[in-house]
Amino acid sequence: MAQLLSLFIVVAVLSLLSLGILRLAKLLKVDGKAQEQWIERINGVLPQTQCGQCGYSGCRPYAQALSQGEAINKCPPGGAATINRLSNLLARESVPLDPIHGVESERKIAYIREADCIGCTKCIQACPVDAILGASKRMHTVIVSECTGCDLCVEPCPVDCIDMIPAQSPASISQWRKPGSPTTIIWPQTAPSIGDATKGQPR
Amino acid sequence: MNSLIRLSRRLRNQAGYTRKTRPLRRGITPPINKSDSLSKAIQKLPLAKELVLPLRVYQSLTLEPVVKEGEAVLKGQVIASLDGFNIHAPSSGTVATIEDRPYANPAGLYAPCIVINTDGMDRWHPSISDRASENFNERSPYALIELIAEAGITGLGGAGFPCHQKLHSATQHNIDTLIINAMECEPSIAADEALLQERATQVVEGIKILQYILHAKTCLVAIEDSKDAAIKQLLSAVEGSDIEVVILPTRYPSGSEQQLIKALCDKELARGQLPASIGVHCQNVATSYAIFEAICLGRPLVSRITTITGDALASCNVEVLLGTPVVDALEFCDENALEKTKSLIFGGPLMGVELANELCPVNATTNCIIASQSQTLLKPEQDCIRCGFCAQVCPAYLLPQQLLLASQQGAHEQARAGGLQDCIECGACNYVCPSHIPLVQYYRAEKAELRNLDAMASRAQHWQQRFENHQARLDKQKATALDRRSRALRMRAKAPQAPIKTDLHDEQIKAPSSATAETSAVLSADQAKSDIQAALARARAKKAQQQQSTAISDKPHPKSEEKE
Amino acid sequence: MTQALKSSPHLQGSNNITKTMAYVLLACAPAYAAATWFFGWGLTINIVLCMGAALASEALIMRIRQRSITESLSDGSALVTALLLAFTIPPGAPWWIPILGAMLAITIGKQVYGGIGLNIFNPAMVGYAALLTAFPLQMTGWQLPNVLTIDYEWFSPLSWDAFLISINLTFPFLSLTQDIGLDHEIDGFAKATPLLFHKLAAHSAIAGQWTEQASLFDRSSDVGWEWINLGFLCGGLFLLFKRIITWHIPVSLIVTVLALSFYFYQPGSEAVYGSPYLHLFGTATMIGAFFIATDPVSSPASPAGKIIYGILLGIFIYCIRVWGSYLDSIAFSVLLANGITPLLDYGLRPRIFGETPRSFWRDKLSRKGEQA
Repeated sequence: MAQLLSLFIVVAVLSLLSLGILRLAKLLKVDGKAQEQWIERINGVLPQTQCGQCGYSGCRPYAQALSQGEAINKCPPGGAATINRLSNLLARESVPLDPIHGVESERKIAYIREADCIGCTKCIQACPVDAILGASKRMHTVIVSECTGCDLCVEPCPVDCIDMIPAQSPASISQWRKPGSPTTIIWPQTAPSIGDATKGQPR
Repeated sequence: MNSLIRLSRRLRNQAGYTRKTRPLRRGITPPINKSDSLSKAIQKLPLAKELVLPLRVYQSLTLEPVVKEGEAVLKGQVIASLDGFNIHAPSSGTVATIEDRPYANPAGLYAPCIVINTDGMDRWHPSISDRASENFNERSPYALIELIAEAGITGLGGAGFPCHQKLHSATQHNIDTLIINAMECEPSIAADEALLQERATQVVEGIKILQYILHAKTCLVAIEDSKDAAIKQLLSAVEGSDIEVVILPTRYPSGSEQQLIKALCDKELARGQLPASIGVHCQNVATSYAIFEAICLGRPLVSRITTITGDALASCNVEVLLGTPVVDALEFCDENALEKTKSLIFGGPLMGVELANELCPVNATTNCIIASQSQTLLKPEQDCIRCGFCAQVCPAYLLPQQLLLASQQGAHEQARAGGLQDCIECGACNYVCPSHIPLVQYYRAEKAELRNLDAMASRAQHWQQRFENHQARLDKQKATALDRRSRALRMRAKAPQAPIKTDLHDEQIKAPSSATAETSAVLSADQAKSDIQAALARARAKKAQQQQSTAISDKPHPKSEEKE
Repeated sequence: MTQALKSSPHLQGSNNITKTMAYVLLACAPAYAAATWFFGWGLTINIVLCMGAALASEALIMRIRQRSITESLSDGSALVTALLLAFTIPPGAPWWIPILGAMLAITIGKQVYGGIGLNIFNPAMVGYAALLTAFPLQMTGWQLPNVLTIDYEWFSPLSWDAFLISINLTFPFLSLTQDIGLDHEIDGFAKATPLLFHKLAAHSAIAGQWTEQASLFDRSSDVGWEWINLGFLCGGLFLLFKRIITWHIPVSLIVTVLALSFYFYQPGSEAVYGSPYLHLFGTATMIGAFFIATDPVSSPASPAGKIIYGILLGIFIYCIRVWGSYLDSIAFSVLLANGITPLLDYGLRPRIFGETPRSFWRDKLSRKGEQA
């Protein structure tokens, strides 16, 4: 019995020790030379919209703050998925998105209403990824493929001519849904179905 | 019993067993179900009134039409083209319209199509006879590839990849083995088998052309041991040539390219690896036949042999013009077929595409049309019991039950690590699943999600790069501005009487693009000013309205709250 | 218009859960026949009670969970659990033992985890372990109408009288046997598992009978257990042939047990380690290797995982059997190994088509590095 007990104690002590070593290694990794790489990895998880809704000037500054213990629920564009990945990466508890910083929505893209644009270039200055094209007193336009949907150009526009429109991915052959989704595929209105077309029109 | 039959076939077809093969050990042996259609000779489908030719040939490869509405066309005339690759009119008539029509795809999308009203004469274009040449040896391999491209030949077996592109990329490598795939391992499909039974000599002629193009040392024709009549025809057709017929056991999916290469050459292709990289090139028998027709007879790809089967009609093999609406093919087999048909499948029962519309035209990859009387062929889904039957049959050596779990739970990284992207969607796991789980659909959905994730990741990386460039540019501007200011200060210190430059406003330092770019204004200053005033007023009114509405709805947006 | 189109394949084979489970039930037939021949009707009574209780509790829980009762009862998984449990309960156990065991197996072992396919532990073994720890006395006494205590000139375990005795053992309150004067003919602890009495047995009893040219089916000798194990072996080979199970777990388990018993066995000494022969055919190794350890739900999915699982199971079985204080060790070993299954499933996957061994290992190591 005493042998068994001692065995248990040894196993328990060993496992505690190894856990401690792992923890220590992680701390060392963070504090040591690998700090930069560590921030890069955190940054890799963030959605890179550069919207600043977290209160930092971009995704990387937020990543830096995260590495120093900032809350992980401040990124609305990333939403729950990013929070989950951050909680895995940083070994922190997963918490719901902080509504102070915004709510999760589908990806949006900025569109400039051309008729209303006065060419003030204020949105161009606001854009963090240089996705708006134009010159002073010329109509501006958004390069759709480069727009991150960060919302930063909407606020400075003096004539409020920028709309955020949900990004639409084109219908594609390979976009399958999982079984049990409400509708597997939504058909275009005009497609006559099997059976429908047989009634009436002679062929 | 099965093994006895196999043994007797093996003894009878000794010629095919000279080569050491490693046949597929996994996979399934569903009922073959081909004898009905093979009992009759290949029939020619009567000319349809309307032919619909989608301009989208392979995935997103879309051709440009070269004919206009109302133009008269002859059979074999080019009607659409892109980079030397053509679509031809399958019959003579007039171009009725060019519009979006349904075509065969699992998502039920529409594609731009050329619609031809046939005139019933089926007259060939005069250029056809000029192009025909008895001796392909007189032309260079590259000229032949060009001819194949002009004839619009795509792979007639599976995905429909343009044949000339495949051949062209193969010529960049040193090909030592040419494999002609006559396996046709899916149940119900008998188009290739019928083709070999009736036109084996022409097929072999096409194979010789391929051999000539690729300079392949070895040329193998792989065929399943259940196709007795086809093997006989093939063996007599290859006599005297260095083409070797290899007979493999009947097992699905042994006709899949990767699995076939493994069986014949004992080499496994990794995901995304091209067969050409290991010196192998695969072509389908029907493609070789099309190549024969294109080179020796000058005829472009305008028809193919298709099996029409299913419990709604009498099975048969037909030669059908591309662009024929499915409904015409069905009604040829059974007058009441359309009323009886509840579901329509293009391709075999294991990998085919279910159609939403009976007006979809037959295309080059339609090797089979299945018209079924029942709406759903599948039994209801039950829970996974992890029996592992799926893992026993998976030809890609995956663990389908684990992948199912990962895709059901949305554990994307686990699905990726488990090799989901290596799944060839053959459906063998689905076939044996005792719980009738639509595994392939789960995998397809999860693959789509993985693709979306990858796209998102690469987008994020791109944005990060742009953001960094943006920051770097701003920093540089700031630095130069500072530099200029300090230089100006130094200048002033040196020569205090010199005029002081004061055109450096803060705004300019931030973003010189907004600086006084005083180019000639199109509008006169007054008009512009009034326009701007009007716009500002509009914006103010709108903002006020918004605030009002938010106040009413009593649901302030967090952003607008911040503003206030 | 919306229409749900189904993905390929549009064809399904004839497999279904009921058929799979029916094969497992069928594979138990030889062992059942042997057990009944040698030990009488006790097993049959246990099977009937277990199956009844299992079906009833499954139906009840399906009712509570508001699922289709017929669907879940018709899949036959409850019957397989009940049958395997019945094999492990000693014949002649009081009626509430099999009923309680089956209810525990179905409710605690299976349904609390979400039903078929989701249980972590083998349900039959959960039921058995619960019974064994709670009612050790009832679970170890093999009360049989024993041929040794009754003049077997006229008495057979299959006779009507033996049937009455068995019924009476299970339902003591019925007092069926008093009328015919068989009440005292029951041997309390006869024919317990060979491990109890023959821990030193070194030779096959069947082979012994054979050399003595005696009947191989003689109920008075020790051949009974061997025949039952041979029955399970036959059934297991049938399952292998039908590809219901794969070879990995049974082979690795049996090889491990054999290797350990060869290593520790000292013929002629008084040590308690049984002979390799005894470990294979004198115990529950066969049912464990072919029927219990191969339960697909609670065993790993990958071939490598299965082999490791089998080896671990073999080690557990041997250690608990030889150094532990329970008679046989399949149940506890299986439950222990079940706990490791998720780990084995997580870490191991087979080589994917197209992967060279080199890229396979590189992929593994790099992934490990990422996770750390």
